[in-house]
Amino acid sequence: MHRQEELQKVEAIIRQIIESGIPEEKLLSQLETFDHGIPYTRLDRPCTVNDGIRQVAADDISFLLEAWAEAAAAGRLMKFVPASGAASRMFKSLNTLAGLPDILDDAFLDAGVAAGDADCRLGRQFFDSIRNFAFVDDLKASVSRHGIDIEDLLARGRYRDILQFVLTAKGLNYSNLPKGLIRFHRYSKGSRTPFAEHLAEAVDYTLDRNRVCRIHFTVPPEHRQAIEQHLEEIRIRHELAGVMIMSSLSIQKPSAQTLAAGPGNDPFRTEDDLLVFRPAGHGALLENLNELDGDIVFIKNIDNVVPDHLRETTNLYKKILAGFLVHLQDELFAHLQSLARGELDQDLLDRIADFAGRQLSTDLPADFRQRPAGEQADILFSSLNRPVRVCGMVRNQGEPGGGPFWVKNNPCCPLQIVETAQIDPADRDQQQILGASTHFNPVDLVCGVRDFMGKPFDLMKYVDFNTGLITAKSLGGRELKAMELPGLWNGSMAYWNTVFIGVPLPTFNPVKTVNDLLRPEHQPPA
Amino acid sequence: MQMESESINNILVITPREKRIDASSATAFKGQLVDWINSGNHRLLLDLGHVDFIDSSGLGALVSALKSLGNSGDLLLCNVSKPVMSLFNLTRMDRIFQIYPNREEAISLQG
Repeated sequence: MHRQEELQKVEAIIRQIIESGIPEEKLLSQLETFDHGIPYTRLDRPCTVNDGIRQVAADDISFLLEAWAEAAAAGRLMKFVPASGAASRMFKSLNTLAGLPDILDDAFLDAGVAAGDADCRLGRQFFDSIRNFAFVDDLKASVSRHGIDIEDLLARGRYRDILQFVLTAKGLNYSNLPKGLIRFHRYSKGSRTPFAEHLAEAVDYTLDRNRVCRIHFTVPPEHRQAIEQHLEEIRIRHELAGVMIMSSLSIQKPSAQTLAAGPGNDPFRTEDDLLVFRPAGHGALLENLNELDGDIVFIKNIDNVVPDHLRETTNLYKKILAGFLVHLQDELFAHLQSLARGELDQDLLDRIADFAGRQLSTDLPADFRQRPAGEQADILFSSLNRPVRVCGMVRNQGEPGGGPFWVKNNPCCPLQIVETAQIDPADRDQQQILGASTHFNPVDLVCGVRDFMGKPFDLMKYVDFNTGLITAKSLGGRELKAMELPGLWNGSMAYWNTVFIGVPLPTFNPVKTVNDLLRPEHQPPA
Repeated sequence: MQMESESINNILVITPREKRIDASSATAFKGQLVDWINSGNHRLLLDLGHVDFIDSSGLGALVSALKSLGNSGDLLLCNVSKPVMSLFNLTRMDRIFQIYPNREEAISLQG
C-alpha cells in the first residue's frame, strides 16, 4: 500500500483514540486484560435471611424512620437514577413485527400465537389492550394529526400502520427514545413518564427542611435537551406545590467504552483497519456518582417505578433503608473518630472489632486479637473507613440478574452483589451455590459516600477492576471479544462496606417490555 | 522540550530527554522535528531510549514529521519501550515507521 494511504489510516486511528476520550494507558491495560482474562468470582455461599440478609424487625421501624427523617431534614439525601438506557429493548418484539414482510393483521397474529411465536403473542396482547396504555392519548393525537382515527385502524386490523405511529418519528418515536420519556402511568389528569414518577417518589423521601428535593439522572447526550425540557415542566408543577426540585443531569462519559479484541486478543479492526469500541456497561456511571458530591444517595433504576397509589410500601422501605444506613453510620463514625484520635483501649478495640464483624460482616484476620493494639487499630480503621451501602434484596422470582452472595478472597467486604455471568459456568460447585440463592438484587441501594469527617470518598479507589466481564459477540459475521467494566453495584463497589436487607417484592416493579405496563401495578386503581 | 542531536554517518540522531511525550510537549516536539527537516535533514533517527510513554498527541506529532518528509526522506526509530511499541501496533504506526532495536543497528543498516 502507498505510504500516503498508510499515513491516512494511521491518522484516522489516532483520531479515533482521541475522540474516544480513553487514556492510552487504559487502552493498553484493556488489551492486557483480554490477554490475561478476568477471573470468575468465587462464591462461598448465597446470602440468605439471617446469614447475610437482615430482616428489619417491626419494633425497629419507628426509630429507623426517625433516623431517616433527621437526615432528610438536614438535606443529606439525594437520589441518583441511571437513565441512559434506550427504550428499544422495551419495544423489541413490536419492532420485529413491524419489520416482517407479511401483512400484519389479525389472521397473522392469531396464527403466530397458535404456533407459539413470542413476538406475535406480545403483539396480540399489545393491540387488544392498547387503550390501557398511558400513552394511548398521545398516540391518538399523533394519528389524528395525519387525519386518521386510531379506532378505524384498529377495526381494520391495520397494525403495521399503528406500529409506525408508536415506534417511529412519524408518531411517538418510542423505539428511539430513552426509557425515561415513555408514558408509563395514567392518572385522572394526564399521564407520567418514569422521570416524573422518580421525581414524585424522591419528593416523598429526600425532601429537606427547606422543602428542597435533590435528584440526579444520567442521560443519553442526544436526548439531553428533551429531557431537560420535560423535567422543567415537572419542576414547575412541583414548585406550585411548594417543593423546590434541584435536578441535575450528567452524561455517561464517552470514555466509558472499551476496545474490542479479536480471537487472538489483538485489537479487533474493521475492514478499514479502524478500531472498534463498545459500551462498557453501567459501571462507568461510578464516575458520575463520584462527581455528585453527595452524602447519602439512593440509587434506583429508571424503569422501576409505580403509580402514586402503590407508592406507600416502596417509599416506606426506602426510608427504612436510609434510616438503617444513618443509624449504622452513627456508630461507625463514632468508632472511626475514636480510632482517629488514637484511642487504643483494648475494650474499645474489642467492641469495634465486634461491630465490624456483626454489622458489616468484616472477616478480621484469624490472629487479630493476638496482634499489638496499634496494629489492631490500623486494621479496624482501614476496614471501616470506606463507603458503605445498604441494599434492599427481594425474594428470587426467577428474574435474570445478580444476587447477594458471600464471596471468597475479599475478607474485608465478603458481601457482594454478583451477576450470573461472573460465576464459572463449568464449575459445578459454584453453579450449585448460584442455584441455591434465595434473593435477587432489585437495585435498591442507599449509599453513604462521605467519611466520618464529612469528606467525600474518592469512589474510584474502591473498585475491583478484576470483576468485569469478557463476552463473545460478533460484528459483520466476525467474532469479537467485548469487555464490560465492573458493574456499578458489582465490582465498582467491591471494596465498600455492605449490608443487605430483605425488602418486600412489591417494591420491585421493573418494566422490561411494553406489555409489562399492562400489569395491575402499572395501571390506575380499579 | 529537551532534545539532543548529533550527526552520525549523515543521519541526524535525535534523542528526546523526556520520559513522556504528551499533549503538554507534543507541539514543541513536532516543531523541533519539522525545523530539522526544513533545514535539510532528510535522514533522521529518533532514539526513544529515554521515553517511557507517548500519547496520541505525541504519536500525531511523529506522523506529521514523517509527512513533512514526503517521499524524499526517512524518519527511523530505535530503542522503543514496550508500551510505546504497543501503541505503535495499536495505531498501525509500526507499518509506516522503520523501527530498530538500537541506534547502532539502525545506523549500520542505513549505511
